[in-house]
This record gives sequence, C-alpha cells and structure tokens, in this order.
Amino acid sequence: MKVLFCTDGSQMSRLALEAGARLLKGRRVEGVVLHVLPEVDKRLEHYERLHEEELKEIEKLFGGKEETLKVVAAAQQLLSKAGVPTRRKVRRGNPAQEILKEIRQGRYDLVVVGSHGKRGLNRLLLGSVSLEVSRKASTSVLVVKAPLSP
Amino acid sequence: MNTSVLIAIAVFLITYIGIGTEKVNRTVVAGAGAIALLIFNILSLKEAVTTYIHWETIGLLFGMFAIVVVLSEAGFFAYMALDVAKRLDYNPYKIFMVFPLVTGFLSAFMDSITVMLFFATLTYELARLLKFDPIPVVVAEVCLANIGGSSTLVGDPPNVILGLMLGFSFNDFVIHNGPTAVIASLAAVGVAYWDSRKQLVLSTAIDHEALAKMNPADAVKDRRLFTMGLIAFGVAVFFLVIHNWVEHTLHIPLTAPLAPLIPAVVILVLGGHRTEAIVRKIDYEVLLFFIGLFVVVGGLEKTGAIQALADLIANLFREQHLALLSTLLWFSAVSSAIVDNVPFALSMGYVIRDMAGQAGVPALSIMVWAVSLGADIGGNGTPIGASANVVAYTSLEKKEVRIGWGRWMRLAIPPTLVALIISNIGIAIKLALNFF
Repeated sequence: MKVLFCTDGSQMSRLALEAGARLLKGRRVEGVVLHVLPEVDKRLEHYERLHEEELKEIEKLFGGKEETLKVVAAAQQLLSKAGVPTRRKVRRGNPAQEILKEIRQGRYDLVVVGSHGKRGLNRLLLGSVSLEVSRKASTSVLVVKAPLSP
Repeated sequence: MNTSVLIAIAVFLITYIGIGTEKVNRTVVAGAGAIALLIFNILSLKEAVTTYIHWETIGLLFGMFAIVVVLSEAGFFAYMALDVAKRLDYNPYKIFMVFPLVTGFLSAFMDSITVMLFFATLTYELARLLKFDPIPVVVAEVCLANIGGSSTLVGDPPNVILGLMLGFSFNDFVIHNGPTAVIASLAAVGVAYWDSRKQLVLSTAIDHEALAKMNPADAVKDRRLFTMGLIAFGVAVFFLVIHNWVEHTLHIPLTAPLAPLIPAVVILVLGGHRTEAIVRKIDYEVLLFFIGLFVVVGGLEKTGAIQALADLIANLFREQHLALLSTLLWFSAVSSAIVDNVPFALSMGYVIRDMAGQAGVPALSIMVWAVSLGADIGGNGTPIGASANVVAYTSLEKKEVRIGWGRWMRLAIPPTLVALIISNIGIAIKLALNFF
C-alpha cells in the first residue's frame, strides 16, 4: 500500500502522522513524507543570488541544519518508530497544488493530512489545504482533526 | 485634457499597478512603461536621457552599492552582528533592544535591503541557538531600518531622489530629519520591545557549547577587503559631509554622487582578484528600475499632469501649512505601505517642486522633510511596503518561520504609528520655529 504523509511541521500534521501510523499498523506500507516549502519571492531570490556565498558562510558559521530537513527528519523518525518506513520528498509552491501534483505522479493509495496546518487563517480566506486536497484528489484522503483515543 | 496627458497618466498608472501587483518583474514593468512613452512620442529618447533620467541618483546609488558589496563580501555584517551579540552576552532581551538600533544606524548610510538580508538571516540563526522567537526582533529591525534610513540623504532611495532632484544635501537631511529619526527610532524600539517582550520566552535549553565556539573574527573572510571597505565607507560619509563646503568654498566639483563613487572606484581598482566578484554583485537591476521610473514619471511632468495635480493640492490647502504638511506626511506613509515608495517619491518630488513658490504654500524644504519621513517610515506597515521588508519577511518564511501579513502588521504598525506621530510633531515644531 503506497501512502503519502503530508507534513508542515505543525502540531496538527504531527497528530495526522501519528493517527495514520496507528491505523496502518501491521500493514505493508510504502510511505512517502512530503513537505511543501513556500514559494520564494523573486526579489529575495535576486538578493540571495547576489550574496549567495556570504549567506552560505553565515550558515556554516552557525553550523545550522536547514529547518526543512529537520521537519522532514522529525516526521520520518515518528513514522519509523511506529513501524512505517518512508522516503522523503520536498516540493516548493502552493501546498494544496503541490500535494495534488504529487498524488497524480506518485499513484498513492492513501493520503494522510492534518485538518489545518500552520496557517489557520487560510481556512477562512481560501479554504484549507486539506479541504482542497480531499475535494480534488483522485485517491482516498485521511483528514485528521484530533488525536485518536488510545 | 489633451491626449498626451491621458497617455502619460495611463502609462504611469499601469506601471504603478504593475509594480504593486508584482506579477511581472518590476524592472521590466518600469522599462516597458518607459518604452511605451517613447513609442507614443510623449518623450524623445534624447529628452529622456538628458532631462528626465537623474544620472546623479544612479551614480550615487552605484557608488554606495559597490561599497556595501565590498563590506558584505568581506563578512562585515556577520562580524558586526556576532560582535554585538557577544557584547550583549547573547541575551535575547538585550538583542531585541540593540539589534534594531544597529540596523537603523547601518541603514542610515547603507542600502537597507542588504542590511536586512543579512540581519534577518543572522537574527534567525542566533534565535535558533538562543531559542527565542526571531519574528518580533526581525520586524523591529525592519522598522528601525526604514526609520533610520530617513535620517540621511543616502539612507533610503526616496531621500536620494528628493535630495538630488531638489538640491538638498547630506547635511540638510542630517540636520532636519536626523533628530526626528533618532527620537522616532528610540520610541519605536521601545514600543516594539514593550509590545513583544513576553513573546521572547527564554529557554534553558540553550546550546552553550555552540555559543562558546562562536568567534566574531571568524566571520571576517578577507581582512584586507574588510579594512578597505571600512575605509571606503568612512571616506564616502566624510565626502558627503564636506562636499557642499568643498564645492562652494574650494570650487572643486565634489558633488554628492562623487562622494561614494571616488572611494568605490579606488576600491575596485585595488580589489585585486575580488574586483570581478564585487562588480558582479552590484544590484544593476535596481538601477535599471530607477532609470525606467525616471522616464515614466518624466512623462507626467512633461505633459503638465504633475503641474495640474500640484495646482489642485496648492489650492486645496492654501494658507493651511500644517494641514498640508501633515497630509503630505500621512499620505506618503499610507501610499508607501501599499506600493513601492520609489515611484511615489519621484512623482511627489515633482509635485512639491511645482507647488513650491505658489502663494500660500510652505517652503519646498519642509515639504521635502514631510514627504521623505512619510515615504521612508510608512513602508514599515506591510510586508511589501519596502524592499527591505520583502527580503526580511520572505527570508524568514523560506526558513519555515511563518509570519503572515496579520502578525507582521500587528507587530509593525504600533512602532510605525509612534514614529509617524513623532515625525508629525517634529514637522509642526519646525514650522512653528521657522526652522526648515
């Protein structure tokens, strides 16, 4: 069974991963953890390109591990502890559209998402990522709203 | 209204909206606007190049950009931030109070975009080590960068445009905007700190080992370049301070653009193998953006559209000096929070020039101070109000520190309002004392 676990590092996406792992316990799962990064503003890209080396030096100076890697690694660790081995994928762009693209390209049997992520207000303004994914996805979507009872 | 005026207004509005919506690169939008005016024969190429493009502004910006690139290439910004943080014992509360003042000070002399590109990154990294929320600190840094930028001729592009276009020197800005900017900066940082002090939440899980290893000197990549950059920067500021005196007393044409250009050229000549990298890193795109805008706004000026607007405003506020100056300040502030402040400052430069000298209108100088304070400080209000905001906001978002417009505005508006109220009071006092 091929399952796509979506994460944005929020508490809700963590709950979704935990619930998904529990429901899938004992099954043979081929898991993929997907993290969608926000689109980078063109102006920032321009200035980052101009000062690329200096910014890298600063990262090196602080010995920083990219936050993206931390978010994905934490999700993979959580799933691995629950017995679900996963691969990682990172995309950049609109979260709902990128998740839908991944679903189309990856031919998943199930998608696991939290009901809302870091941007709670988006739900009121645009319709949440989970709402759009569950409405438009061609596969089954598990939208987690609360932790499962023990 | 004749066809030429309508075309010039239409091209200006389309360009302005194009820049505001950011669907297409703003330099391309400004360039397209300029070419449209040439095609419609509103301006000739010769007129555009010789009359409306302010080469002095372009020269001054080029010189300052080159010096800032040298400093950043040498590791100046990382050194500065680490040195200050170390002197503050890596205390997040002290960092919150002092870092914004540092960005404010640096932005008074340097391009605030570069200052914020580095300080947003450095604050994020320090926040990660010291386990505090970087968002309130970075927003305060941006606010202070924009307020600090209002204090000198070279602090913010609107000042360069207004100053060089209307004949106000570095010292004029320091004398008239400087005190207001200093008081506004101190008040704004106080408000920002008071507003967010509880959000900083100190952690006990600080990585002391990593902190102990931090040595500001490690941030300096090239000692020779570092020293050269600081000397060039000092010489540029010194030249800016004395250039008027040199021009008028010694009759040596040390104009404002030459002040940073001379040390910049010297440094490029002496830069050795680094010169190529320095030249490559100068932000030519912004210079082209300015060139396009000069032509687009030049179209409005040539066709008389700006004169008509100036007459309208002058008639509306005749003999109401304080009301006019306050309106200029607040209108500039609100406009700058919504769209880029460069085209606004450029158009307003012509408007107030055309208003000055009319009966019942205050002196040009005090209108310049009102517009520049409003346009520089008002940019704080939204994440897109100024390029420095865009860079700081998106650089944190890229690092997965989500701010959102709501939180940005919640954090930035109180210090901005305080700074604008202080600016308004400053303008009123100047008017009362006849000191402008």
